[in-house]
Amino acid sequence: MIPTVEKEPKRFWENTDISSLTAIRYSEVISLRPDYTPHWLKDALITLFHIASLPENWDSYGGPTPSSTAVNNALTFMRAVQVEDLPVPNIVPVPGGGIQIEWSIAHRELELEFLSDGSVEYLEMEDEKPIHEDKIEPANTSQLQSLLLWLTHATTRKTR
Amino acid sequence: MRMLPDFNEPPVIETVLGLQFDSLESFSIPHFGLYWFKILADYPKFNVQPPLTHVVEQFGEETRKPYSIEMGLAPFPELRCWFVNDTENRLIQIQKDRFIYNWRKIKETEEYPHYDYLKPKFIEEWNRFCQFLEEVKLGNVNINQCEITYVNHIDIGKGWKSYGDLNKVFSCWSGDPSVNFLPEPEMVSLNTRYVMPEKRGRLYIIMQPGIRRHDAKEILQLQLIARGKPASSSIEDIMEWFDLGHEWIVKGFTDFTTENMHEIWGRKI
Repeated sequence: MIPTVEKEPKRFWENTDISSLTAIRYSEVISLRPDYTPHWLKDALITLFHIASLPENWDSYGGPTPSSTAVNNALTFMRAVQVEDLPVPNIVPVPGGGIQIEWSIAHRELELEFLSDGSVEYLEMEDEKPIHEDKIEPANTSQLQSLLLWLTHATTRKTR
Repeated sequence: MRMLPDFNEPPVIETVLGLQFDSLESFSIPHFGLYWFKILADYPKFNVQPPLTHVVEQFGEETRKPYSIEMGLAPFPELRCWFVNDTENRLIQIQKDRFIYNWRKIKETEEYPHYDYLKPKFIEEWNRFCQFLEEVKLGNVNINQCEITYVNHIDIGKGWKSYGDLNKVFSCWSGDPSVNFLPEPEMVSLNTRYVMPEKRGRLYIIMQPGIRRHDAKEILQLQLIARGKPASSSIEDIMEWFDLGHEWIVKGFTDFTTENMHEIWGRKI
């Protein structure tokens, strides 16, 4: 018999604050703590997990199922955003196995595309016009935070 | 024979029988491999995990002992290893002061194997682990805690639709405001603990909402943990404590939840 390493995705989404003896697999659960869950996160997670289970050819153009890398990166990002005053984001699958998260506040819109290869791209829009786009490192939470800061300061009409 | 509450479709998705013992100081990284070789045919997969901290239930005078903190450099990184069976629904967790046996639900159709079925499996694996310790001359273990855990998933739509319905799920939650000021709660979590008779341990009941990944469903995670010290390290005393812990978990679960839910889960006894 050839021993194998149990291949599992990173387990950062797993519940770690209940019992440490558990090894839940069938039902990986994102725990929601009332004192630590932004109001938009519950609905956003439900949408994300529905999208994650889309079948192949979900768009009838041969689109692949969203990749676990894209889903996990989007999940990590959303769980890291401890910002209460955001609306529920629009989350959509994109061709190629990626996930796009869109937030609109006043005249500003932020689109974050989590691609199947693990990279992340963003687009800032103002008054429905693109003003800035680039790639970011998914692990660079400070960069992601600064994008959200730009978005949540949408009441001031000054661009960077 | 003990007659405990029983259900046709209990919402259990994981059970854990765990032992904590005085740290085996000589237990080192090579021993994980030597032990794995012994159980390889039954548990061909492995997964390395961070170690669990040592937890002991304290009562009365024990809690007044002064803390002593020792600082120093660890000689090598501590770790815990999971050894997983082919179908991935059973695993053994090992670290230098722990032996843990888990059953976990892998498929939606999989039925909970009752405690009476899991108990002999645990005994078999514990005996095999003790035999291994003897073979590698690591000595006998001194058990200081037994722990039994049940994890339940209560799906939205099965007895509850919103957090305003929790009185239909949990018997301790009335949901009735005194002066009709508060609206329906947006979210609720519960965290309770109970002392078992003769201070033989504690039962923890924890309810936390969550979103289950594989079907994007909102659920209530209800976890019951019984932990305490057996009379001795003998297998008879260990199993006597597990029987007590199991009884507290089953009766505690039944007491904590409503008859409405018992009906949904198909209560038999």
